Amino acid sequence: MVTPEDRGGSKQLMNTSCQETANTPSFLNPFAVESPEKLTPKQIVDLFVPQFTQLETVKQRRHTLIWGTRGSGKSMMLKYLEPRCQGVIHGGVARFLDLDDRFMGVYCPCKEGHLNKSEFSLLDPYAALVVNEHMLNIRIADRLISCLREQLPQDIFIPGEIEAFGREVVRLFDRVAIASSAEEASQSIDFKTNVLNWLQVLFAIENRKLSSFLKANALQGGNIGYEGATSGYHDFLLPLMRATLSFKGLKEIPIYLLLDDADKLNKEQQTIVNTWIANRDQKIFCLKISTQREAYKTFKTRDGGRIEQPHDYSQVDVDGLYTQSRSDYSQKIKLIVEKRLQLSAMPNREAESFLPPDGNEEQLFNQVKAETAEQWKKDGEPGRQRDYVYRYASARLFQLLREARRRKSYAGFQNLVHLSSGVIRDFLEPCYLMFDACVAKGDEPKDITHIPPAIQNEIIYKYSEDFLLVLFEDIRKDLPPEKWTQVEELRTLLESLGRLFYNRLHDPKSREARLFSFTVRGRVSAEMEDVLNMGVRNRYFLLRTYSTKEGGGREKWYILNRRLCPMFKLDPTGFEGRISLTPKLLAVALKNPDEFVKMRLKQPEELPQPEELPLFEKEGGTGDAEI
Amino acid sequence: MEKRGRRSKEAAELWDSFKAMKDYLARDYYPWVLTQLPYYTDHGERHVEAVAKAAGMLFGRRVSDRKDVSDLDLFLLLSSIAWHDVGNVYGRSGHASAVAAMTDKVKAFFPYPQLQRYVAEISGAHSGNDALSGPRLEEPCSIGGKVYKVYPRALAALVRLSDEISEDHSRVSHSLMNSVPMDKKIFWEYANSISASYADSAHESVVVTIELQTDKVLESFPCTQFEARSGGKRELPLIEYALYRLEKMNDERIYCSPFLGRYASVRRIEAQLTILEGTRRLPDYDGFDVTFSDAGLEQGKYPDVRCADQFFSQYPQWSPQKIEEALSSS
Amino acid sequence: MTPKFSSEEIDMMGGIKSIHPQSPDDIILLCASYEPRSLATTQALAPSYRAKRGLIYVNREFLSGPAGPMVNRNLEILQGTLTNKCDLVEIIQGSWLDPKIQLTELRHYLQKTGDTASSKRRTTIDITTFNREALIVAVALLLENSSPGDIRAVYVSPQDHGAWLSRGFRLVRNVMGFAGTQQPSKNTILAVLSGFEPERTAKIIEEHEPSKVLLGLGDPPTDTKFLERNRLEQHLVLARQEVADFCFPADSINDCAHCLREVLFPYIGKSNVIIAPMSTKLSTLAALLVAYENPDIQLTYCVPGEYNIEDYSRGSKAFFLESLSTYETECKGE
Repeated sequence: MVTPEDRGGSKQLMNTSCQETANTPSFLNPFAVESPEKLTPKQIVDLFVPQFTQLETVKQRRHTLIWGTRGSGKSMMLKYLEPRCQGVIHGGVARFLDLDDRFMGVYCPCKEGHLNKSEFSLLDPYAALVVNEHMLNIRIADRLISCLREQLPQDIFIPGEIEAFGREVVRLFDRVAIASSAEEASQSIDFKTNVLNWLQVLFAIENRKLSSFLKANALQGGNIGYEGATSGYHDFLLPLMRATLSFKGLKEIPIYLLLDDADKLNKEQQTIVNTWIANRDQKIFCLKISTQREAYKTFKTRDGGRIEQPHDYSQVDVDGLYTQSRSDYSQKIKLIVEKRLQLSAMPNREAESFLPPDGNEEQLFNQVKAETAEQWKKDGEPGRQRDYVYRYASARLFQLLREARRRKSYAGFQNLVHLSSGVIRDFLEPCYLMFDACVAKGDEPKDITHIPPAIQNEIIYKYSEDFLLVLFEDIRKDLPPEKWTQVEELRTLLESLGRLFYNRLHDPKSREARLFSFTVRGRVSAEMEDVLNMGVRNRYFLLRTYSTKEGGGREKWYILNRRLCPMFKLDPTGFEGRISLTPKLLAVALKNPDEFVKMRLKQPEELPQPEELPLFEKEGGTGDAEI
Repeated sequence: MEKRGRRSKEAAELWDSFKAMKDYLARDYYPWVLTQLPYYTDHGERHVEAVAKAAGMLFGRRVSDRKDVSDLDLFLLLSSIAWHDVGNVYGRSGHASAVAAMTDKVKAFFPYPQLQRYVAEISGAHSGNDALSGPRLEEPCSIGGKVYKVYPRALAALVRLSDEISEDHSRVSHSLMNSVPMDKKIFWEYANSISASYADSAHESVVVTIELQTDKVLESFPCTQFEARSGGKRELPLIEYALYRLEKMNDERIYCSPFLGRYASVRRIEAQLTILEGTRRLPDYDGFDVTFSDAGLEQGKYPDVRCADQFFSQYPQWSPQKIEEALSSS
Repeated sequence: MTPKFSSEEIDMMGGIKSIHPQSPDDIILLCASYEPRSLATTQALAPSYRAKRGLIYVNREFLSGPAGPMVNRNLEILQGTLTNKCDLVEIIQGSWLDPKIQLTELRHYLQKTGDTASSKRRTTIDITTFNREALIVAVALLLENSSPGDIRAVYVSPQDHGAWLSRGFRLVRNVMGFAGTQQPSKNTILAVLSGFEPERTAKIIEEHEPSKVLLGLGDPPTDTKFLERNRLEQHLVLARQEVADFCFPADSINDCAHCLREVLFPYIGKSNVIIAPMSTKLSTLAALLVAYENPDIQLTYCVPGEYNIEDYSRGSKAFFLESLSTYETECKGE
């Protein structure tokens, strides 16, 4: 490696500067989204809200796949399961290890570029498999040792145990193959006095050997031999876990390997992990794998089988909270916000008042609700008054605002919750920007008691605009030119739907104004399917299913991402009733918004059938409809 | 394969062809396979069936369930196993490649002409340090409008390794042990010492248990097979020969693995060694477990992993001298 | 400082000559692209210039489609020019989308040493219109078989750039041969040589999630849009990272390499270091040199979504000629 000490002196450069200038903000924004890896265990425990996370499912002694979009809190959940964090909760790691439901979480992040190296594509399939598996194994082994060294109190190890463990681990490798790495490790660390550190150095040397092999194979080609050790599941990973379990102080504790961001693994690596899952050695260790659903490329195992749920693994959908129960999601966000406000020692620690709605609009809305209640009486009291008001008041508000040419305010805690559409980061990030904006206007950070609605609106409108306009540019660039028409069609479809829903919302005669989703009745072409899937992948639509009136099966149901509401001036608290489109009409929507809106509005308004209607929450007013 | 034949017409056709071919071989060749090779260990029908069973164990999950193993794969595999040693009727040298000419004479057994070529290539690759380079990695084959992808090299690797691990005491006659000529004795004694040899696919290993009698373990037998490994010696004590054979099995495993990976994974040989005096197991030599694996990636050449040397170096108590000392003192 | 010449000065010098006055170059390596600048170097070659082998790299995706006519035309012209100056002219059909093809094709042609001992091979490479990834791979392969000082880079700056050069990104991957070594116990430092794709800088940072970003700004500056952070996305991504700025000389390979060594020194051996060269071709080669010296460093690359084929650049302004120099050769005073 190159070091300046090796040089005789440094060169003087003309007109250049190689000085770093620090660029960190001087205040703490309570809504800052930090990488969990940078947080201390106490910070993680303080920030993490375990309620509504299906944490108990994750803690079960089973292999588990944790699905969630970026920013949904997966990494935070996994870090929360590490021993030190559990120690914070239970008054010490040793105490935690004494509990009946103890476990040892070994955090293993799969970062971009660490494991998914381009050079693997140059290897033949067998070599790629061998090298991939060895790389995965030593990475996990390194994290395990790190956990033993740094997360557990060292007095739980009996003298001599660690040395025996170290020798056992070395024996798992082929003796001749590991000899040179062992020798190199011994040159920098004494095995007897620092076994665990020695093992980590050994793994680092093995890791470097793998990298050197990949590099040489790339740049020199030909039959470059790899002369390092190799390791598999039965001959290394499983016995390693068994050896760990044999520590008396760990009392046969279940080991949970917390693989974070497994979508960053290449396909072969995911196949290897699937094969591990398929072995079902959960008595010895369990895999807890977090990943984005669409980026997990395969469920196949090495011998061509497939892992299946629930036989091989259980699963948790972190995003599912929003679609299952929006009130729970709202509660969760409230807990998160209030925790953060407290940790930042803000003067006001109450979520709703920290993010207040527009006072004038609230007043107007209350007036509209009263008028709507009156109308209910005039209309002969159809159904419950509360339901009637819920259905029509919000739409009336939008209609009134349009008449008065007033921009709709999306300020307010509940609005922001709805607009985030189930992704926690999509709530926190706009709030972060709003707080920054307040500071930029001259407010003292520690004195901020609330975010003015005007600032909330300014940011949220921009956030919505970015989602629609800027993200489209990004999607377009991700695709080859031959797919660009699909992007255009998706954009047009959103425009079509946005306009249609806008029209319905602002039509005083509409009986079901607050529509926000659609289904397609009939078979769509493959190209249309691609466009819809693109919309789902990029989260413009959330995809759910519903059971058909005719019975015998479920149909797809596309719900607009609420983050689009400000752009299209729609109601984010909208009831998720849906319109149904024919493939023919959908085809028009992909091409011509005006024509689509005209055609659809001509059709008689269809009301959701009673059996399709979701249950309303017991709380009144703008309560969420639970599906 | 029979099971699949009940589900599909194509599979049934292939199964019928295979059965007819096997019956033909059992009638016309197997009883005479060793005519030119007196006192070789069994290379007849029982050995063929053992190899087929070994292949099944290497596959792991029930073959009928494996969607990555087609009916055609099974036909080619079983046929190649059935033919692989038949060339011995004309002599040991070149016996693998003789299959090509022999199958040529009975093309009618093959439902389609190219299947005969595949079988000839696959079975021909079961012997020889570079033999696996013969069959191609992948070939398309369409039958009745259905397109298969055939992986001849992978199948050849499977046959080869299955053959290698199908060595145990059932390949010799206990009644004839004392009649075996000296130049063949070492093969019989070694085979006789293997109480079990099988693939444990769940653990990606091959398990071999070897039991050596005290009156045989140190006996030297004429042997030209490992001259290079034994420093030019033309005889070897049985214990050394056994380790060299395990080493060869490991080399075969390494050689076959890159191609076998499509169907099976074998990462190591797990051997268990025992020395017996009659039925009494000797202490210190009772169920000694040793693992032979490998390291690194050899690309393109036959491996030469000196497991035997490592074994004796690591466990000197298994050297002939130390065994002799142990036997004298017990 | 890299020697820099205007077209007139090149003319006055008699054109670009072989590296060694008395003998032909072993290889001249060029890239045929859609830019008119593809032809500038060959047009500036001295009448006496000779090379044993002329290699023309072309990305196969550009041989058809909207770029096809321009690329094919430039390829033909280059072939014609080199035929008169080289004993043998070969075309390397690489790929900017498939890194395996890119590498294997370049390796196939560049590993041939001909009749020259590999350590003495002299190569002139016109780096002007190579895409950055292919450039890194090509020069890395040359370094496997040559002394750095025997590799001369020629870069032709444009009179003017188009409104945009490339947009978007398809994916992030490490440059083949430069995966580096990442130890899980170490944090990650991402050094970005930013310049021409400011809106994608945030994306590459987001993908790698480093614990610290060293944001390099080219001097002379090429684009300061990123500094304005007028996009929420950039603002949010950067807010999640610790960021430090530094300036680097964007117009000199060796000066830039020297600067990078200084900036990265505190982190080498202690952190996982990744460099994202997103600035000039000269600074890209600087990143290569530093990564070549320090095998643990990863070079990461954003595959762009599209190139501005119609109007990438206009005209040719100045010629930069520079031989490579690693830290080792610097010490030896080569």
